[in-house]
Amino acid sequence: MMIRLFFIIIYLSALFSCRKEKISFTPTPFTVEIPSHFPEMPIPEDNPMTKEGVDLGRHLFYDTRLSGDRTMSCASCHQISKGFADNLTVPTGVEGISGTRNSMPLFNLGWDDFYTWDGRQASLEEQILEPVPNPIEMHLAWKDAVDRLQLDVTYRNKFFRAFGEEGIDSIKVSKAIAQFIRTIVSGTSTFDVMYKFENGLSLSDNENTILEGIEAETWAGYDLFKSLNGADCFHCHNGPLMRVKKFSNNGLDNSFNDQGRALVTQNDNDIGKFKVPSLRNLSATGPYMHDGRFNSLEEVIEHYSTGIQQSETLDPLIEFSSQGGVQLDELEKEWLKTFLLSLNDTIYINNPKFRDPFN
Amino acid sequence: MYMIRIAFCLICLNILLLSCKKRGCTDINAENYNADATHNDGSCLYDSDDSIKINIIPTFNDLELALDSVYNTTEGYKVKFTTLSFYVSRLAHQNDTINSSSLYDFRDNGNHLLAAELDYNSFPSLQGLIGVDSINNHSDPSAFDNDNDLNIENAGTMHWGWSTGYIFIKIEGKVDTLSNGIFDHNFSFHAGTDAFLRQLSFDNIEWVQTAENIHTFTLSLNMSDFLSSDANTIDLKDEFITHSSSGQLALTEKVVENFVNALSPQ
Repeated sequence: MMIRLFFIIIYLSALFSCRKEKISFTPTPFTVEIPSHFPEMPIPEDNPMTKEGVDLGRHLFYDTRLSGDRTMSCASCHQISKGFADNLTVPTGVEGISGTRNSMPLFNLGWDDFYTWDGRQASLEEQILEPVPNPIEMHLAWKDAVDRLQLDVTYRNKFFRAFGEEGIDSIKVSKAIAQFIRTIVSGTSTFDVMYKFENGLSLSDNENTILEGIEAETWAGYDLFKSLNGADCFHCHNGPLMRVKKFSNNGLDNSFNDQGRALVTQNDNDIGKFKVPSLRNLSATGPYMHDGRFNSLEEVIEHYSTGIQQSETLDPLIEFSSQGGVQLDELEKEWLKTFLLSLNDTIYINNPKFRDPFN
Repeated sequence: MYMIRIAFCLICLNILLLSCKKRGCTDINAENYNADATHNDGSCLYDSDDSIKINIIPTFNDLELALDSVYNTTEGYKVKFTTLSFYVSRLAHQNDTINSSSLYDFRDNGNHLLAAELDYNSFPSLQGLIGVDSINNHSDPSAFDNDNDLNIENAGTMHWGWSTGYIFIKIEGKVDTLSNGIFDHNFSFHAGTDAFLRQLSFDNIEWVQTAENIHTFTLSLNMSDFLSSDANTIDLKDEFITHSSSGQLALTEKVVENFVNALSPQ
């Protein structure tokens, strides 16, 4: 009798230990933490934010299985310590082929309407589909990438939890990564305190402490930044996001190896125009410009001060172009640089929620 | 005897009905239009799907304007426009309001200014503003709804800052003043600030039916008139930049006045 009971217990134990874990689809809505002085972030109806989707996207973002030789992930060219850029003039892909444009930093992309330097993609989801199969980037056919992910039961479960159906495809990969990228918000720099103070928005105790420590040179640089007769930066770098949504020829060249926006529109009036980037986190995101030609902020400031090149499509908002730029003196250049550094956001750079979940 | 009474009543009723004014809805555009009605009793019902559109067609005299194309000014300059944007706010007829603020951007949206699900019959005339009213002009530009043209993400380069507010009118381009084929300088007219808010008024509006339930009001914006008003000609050789700052008030005034005068019903 005891022996029979023993075997029954062993049988039942074996039965329950081998039972497949039941994966349920109970998505948890995810609310992006948006600074009070930022606009509402538009979320696409066909890709609502969920904790499961964001978690999956974060894993995929850091997963080297999405590259042909398993050496690169999205994070290879978009490193958190570098403002999700890479500090290279132009990136090199898995085949050792160099790209032609500087890696763009990743923050506050949830508010953008177009992506990459020439704006050829109209949504984050579309943009994320591009680097994986691109021969000069991660160079892996989506079918192969999906096959690799399918082999991993953890991913199969994560995809089910995020999307509520069996199966993995490139669309789900891009949607999940897009959800993760939408969480990457930068809005806690010293500049943000200045912006809120300047406009009468309430400040927290911590922000008041930061406010008290802001040097006069930083405020002077901010004044220059906004001044029509000063550095005149605010026409293109405006609002809490520190950019406007447009393409501009900012006078880098008078002839163009890279046609920029015109490659997308086939319109000569767009030759030499590129997406206006945000000026946040500049200490981390150099080198600067679409081709990474400037290694320092001093070089950038000098360009706008004396280096503007005339061309047919030069942005008319660069009003002092006829004299080569805004002609800042040395002290003004220092003040302007000091202000630009106030846009560094260490809370964003150090946010553990954005870090590699595999390490 | 009973039949005679019935016949008499019917005859009386007929006489009574025929002698009355026929009351009902006399508006041919209403859903319950009654062709027999001779007296409108206020019962007209209109399709709730009715909508209106307001379009702006920029021209250079008789030509429809195209951005980046070259036109000749009365001074003999060659000019091309690269940006044409402005805000129109609080369009209304009496207490019926069409919009809060709408951004017209010729490059991005072509002729479209606004569309709304409203009945055109309510707007036989329109009053409004070129620019943004003072309260909205100095509000938090991030706090407007995402679909509001005053939201900072929609305003973009049309917003200077909280204290200065929105650019009400932005006209940019290039000009060749020497007729040598070289566009020798840019012009940028950025008009704004509360002092330059201007009224618009259009009476006896002719709404044109452009689809089954859509009626459209079209305004023409003659950029030649904008540059060459009789009393207020803007000479692009010398008058090519304003940001509405204190030293640029005279040109800003010209820009705003000429712009409002260049707008007319088509």
